[in-house]
Amino acid sequence: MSAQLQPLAAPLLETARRLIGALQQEPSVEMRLALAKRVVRQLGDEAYPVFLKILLIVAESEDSAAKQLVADLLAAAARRMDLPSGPLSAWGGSSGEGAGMNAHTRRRLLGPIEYLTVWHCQQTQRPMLEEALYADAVRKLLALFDLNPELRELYAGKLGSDAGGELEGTYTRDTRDILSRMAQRWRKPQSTPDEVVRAALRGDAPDTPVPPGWIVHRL
Amino acid sequence: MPSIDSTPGAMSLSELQPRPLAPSLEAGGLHALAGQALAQRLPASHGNQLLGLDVWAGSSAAERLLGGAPALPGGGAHLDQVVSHILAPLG
Repeated sequence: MSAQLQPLAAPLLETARRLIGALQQEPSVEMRLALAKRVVRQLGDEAYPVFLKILLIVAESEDSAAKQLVADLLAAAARRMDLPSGPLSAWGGSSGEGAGMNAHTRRRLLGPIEYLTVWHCQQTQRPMLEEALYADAVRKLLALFDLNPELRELYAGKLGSDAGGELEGTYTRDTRDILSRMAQRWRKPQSTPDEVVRAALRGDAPDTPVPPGWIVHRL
Repeated sequence: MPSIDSTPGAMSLSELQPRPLAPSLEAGGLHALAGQALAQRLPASHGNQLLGLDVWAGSSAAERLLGGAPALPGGGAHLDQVVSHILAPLG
């Protein structure tokens, strides 16, 4: 399925290497953050998934130092509530918008997990992200983010807060449900990325057992 | 003006003073070309494929390392130059 983009594999890998190299040589956290955000900005709004792909390349690597560096960098960003973000069009919203605005022109800036979740769950300017790819990407990012306990705590808290709030026009009910379940499970100590993703997508098992012969559909 | 450190391999962004760019080189200018070029090659429909792309195909665990990339030539560099260097492979 990705054969069309295979020629981009080597350039993406080299870009990830250069980014890690530059971050490793920069002693200031502030400047590392500025660098990461500038990379996102230079990529442009439509290419935010390239930044997500770079994060995934780091997550898939066997480079412990690179992974820790990125997790620590994102923890610093989360402390400032300033995670590198990308825009996706909102599904709704109404107040204060010009009459000529439609759903595809109202864009919200979203952090990596929120971006992937909205991409998977909602109608945006992008074709919806397949569930298998969504689950795989989130699982890898959670494993990367878990390397910094503060990042895990802050990001899980933010997702829970976002899901519980009524950010007008940003999240559909489905998106909020997924983010809420993800946040709840992620906050539990010892929960693995795989468990968090499964809980987010399917929900935890019901408290009462399903009677034999019953078929329960997730609506 | 950015400070220049002639020590090979030394790059410290924090030592550099901000340097205003000419308007044509600000966002949307030359430094954005690498990213724009990639964005043009990645229409919205390819986002799914991008995430599924296996950049590590054929690599052993020992080869899956990211550190040790060459430093910017000349040692010191402005933030925009560093970003251009990072994104150059995508251009």
